[in-house]
Amino acid sequence: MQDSSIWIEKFRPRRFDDIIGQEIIVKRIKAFVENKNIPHLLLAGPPGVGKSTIALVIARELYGENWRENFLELNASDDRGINVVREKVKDFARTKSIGNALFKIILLDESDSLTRDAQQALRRTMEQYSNTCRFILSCNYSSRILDPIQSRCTIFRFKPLEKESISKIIDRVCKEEKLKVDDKSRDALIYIAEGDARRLENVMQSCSMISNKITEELVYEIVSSARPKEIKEILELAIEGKFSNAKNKLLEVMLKHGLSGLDIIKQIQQEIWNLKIDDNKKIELTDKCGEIEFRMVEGSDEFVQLEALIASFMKNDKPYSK
Amino acid sequence: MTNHIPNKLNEIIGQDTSKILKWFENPGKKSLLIHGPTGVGKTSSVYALAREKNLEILELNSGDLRNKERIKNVIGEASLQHSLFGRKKLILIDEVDGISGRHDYGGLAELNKIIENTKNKIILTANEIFDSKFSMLRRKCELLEFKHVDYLDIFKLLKKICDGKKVKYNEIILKNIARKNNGDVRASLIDLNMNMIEDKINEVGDLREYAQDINEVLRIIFKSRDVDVLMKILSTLDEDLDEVFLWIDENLDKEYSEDDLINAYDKLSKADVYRGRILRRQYYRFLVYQSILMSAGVGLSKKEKRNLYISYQRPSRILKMWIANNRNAKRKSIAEKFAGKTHSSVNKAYKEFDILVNFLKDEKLAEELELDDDETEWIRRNF
Repeated sequence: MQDSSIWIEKFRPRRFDDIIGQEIIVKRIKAFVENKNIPHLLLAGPPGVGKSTIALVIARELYGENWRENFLELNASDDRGINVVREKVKDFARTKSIGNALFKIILLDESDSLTRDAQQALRRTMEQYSNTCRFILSCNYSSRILDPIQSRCTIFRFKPLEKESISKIIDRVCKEEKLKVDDKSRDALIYIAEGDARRLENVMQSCSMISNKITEELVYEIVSSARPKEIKEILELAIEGKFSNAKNKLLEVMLKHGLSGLDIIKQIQQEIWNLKIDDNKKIELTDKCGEIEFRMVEGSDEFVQLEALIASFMKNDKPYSK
Repeated sequence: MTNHIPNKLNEIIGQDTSKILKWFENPGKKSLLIHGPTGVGKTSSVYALAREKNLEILELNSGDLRNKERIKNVIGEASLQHSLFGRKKLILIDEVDGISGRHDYGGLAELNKIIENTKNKIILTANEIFDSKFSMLRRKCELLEFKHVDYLDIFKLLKKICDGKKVKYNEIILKNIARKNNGDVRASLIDLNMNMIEDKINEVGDLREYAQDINEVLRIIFKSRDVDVLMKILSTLDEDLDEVFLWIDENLDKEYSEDDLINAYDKLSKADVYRGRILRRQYYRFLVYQSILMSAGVGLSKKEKRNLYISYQRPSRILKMWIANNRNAKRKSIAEKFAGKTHSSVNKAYKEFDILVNFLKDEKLAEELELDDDETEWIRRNF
């Protein structure tokens, strides 16, 4: 892996000392590892802030070169229904660890996407095999983890990486890959990263395919390809009363970029504030947006919900005249 | 439809035909405009009247060309002369709303002129007369509205016909025929005829083509403001509610605009919330709410009836989504490989694919991710 050509792997820290940011969390976990014992861990926070990295560092620091023998990672792309928890996890958990290790580690990535049943099954397993196995659960939202599981774990809450940390990562990548950034492009990178190191490195690697001099324009160009600017056009069409055009465009954008209804509604909610409409109207539309997002979660046809939302952008405040 | 031709006005069911007689005996205006839905007896009433009063009918219907010239030639003369042999003339202009603005150019204007000057009585029929282009006609004619016929009345009629012909029948089948046709007597009679084999009424098969059925349902939801009709419309339809939902969604913006569209979409969105709850909780009581919001909810969202003729489109969204999903299958499989190698989330990789793809083109990288030939080829072609 060390010489992976995917930067997010290539630049993934291998030791505690390599980790940039999350100082307090790193310090406390390091103390556990130095004592050769860790509790079950629940690592909560947004993507790209170091949750998986810390889990992998723990394994390396505890087990050395052969860390893989005592470490099982299951991510959301694997099948993780209740049967997997019952069989695969149990099989791994109940066998003795290899070498001098006192226990094995199971990393469950994106554990908030585990079904309720699977979480229930996990709860007993964690207890039963706590002598031979530690669990590290990572998730975006700890509220989606059942209480009984939370109560068995030590919880660490990760925040998006600070500007300074992102800036340090930029330096590290630039040095290794011989890239040039100026102040403007650095600011642009920090802005688009949104505290997510993975996103930062993916964007930088994309830029590097085009030029080793990273410019502000290049950064925004790369990023905008994944955030369709059509959303604004769609809303403007609706405001002008061209509903059918807006509707057709919306479907086209969703299908072309493979976006879900929730992806779209998130962007609409942000885009409202860039529209040239009255501020009170913006509040009203934001309220409507929230209502529709709620209905989307409760309902079954995301597209109809979005249509209802963009229809409400047409509403002008003139009283209806007969 | 040879099984029932009313010879007298009082044989027409479900309509107040005495008003036609009253008009005929004592006309306030020379012309009478009968309007109402399809198949409820408008034209039949006129023929019944003619038989009853021994009148000669001069008819011009939508099967005829009805431009200015034609109307003038056929009706113009006749409207001014009396019959030679004492048999009175009755002029019938059937399906006035079928007069086309393009092909029947000048027809309506000519008709207005004739109505103004006619010496003979004229009866006109139409489905919808509230378009502004009929405003002159509305003013110049006496108006009589025909309504949907209650299905129990249709049922009684069907029963009477069967009894008259000594045909054996099952009441449930007759009721089904009556109910399925939504107050349309003519359609019910046609269906009765079709199912009458030898001396028995058979089980009702698929009476009408599906596309026809759904079109009728949409027409009623989009055009009617009659809450009784709207409330009944979905319960008389055998089709899948989900299918109707998609049809409404596909065609709503062709019928409604502005506030009506906003309100109707709000109702549709709420109907969908109930649908989601039904799917998730299997709580089928919610069907009532879903169905009422879809029919009466959408129907009453309009402030006024609209009379534009719209031909409805078959829902296309599901097909488009299916095609797109197939197209995006490679995107998904590549995102999975990427996420698997980098301890990251498949969803996120899928969403940020447009960023990643810039370096996924790299051969060395494709090799590391174990992309197969199809996948690298797909990237090369699409990005």
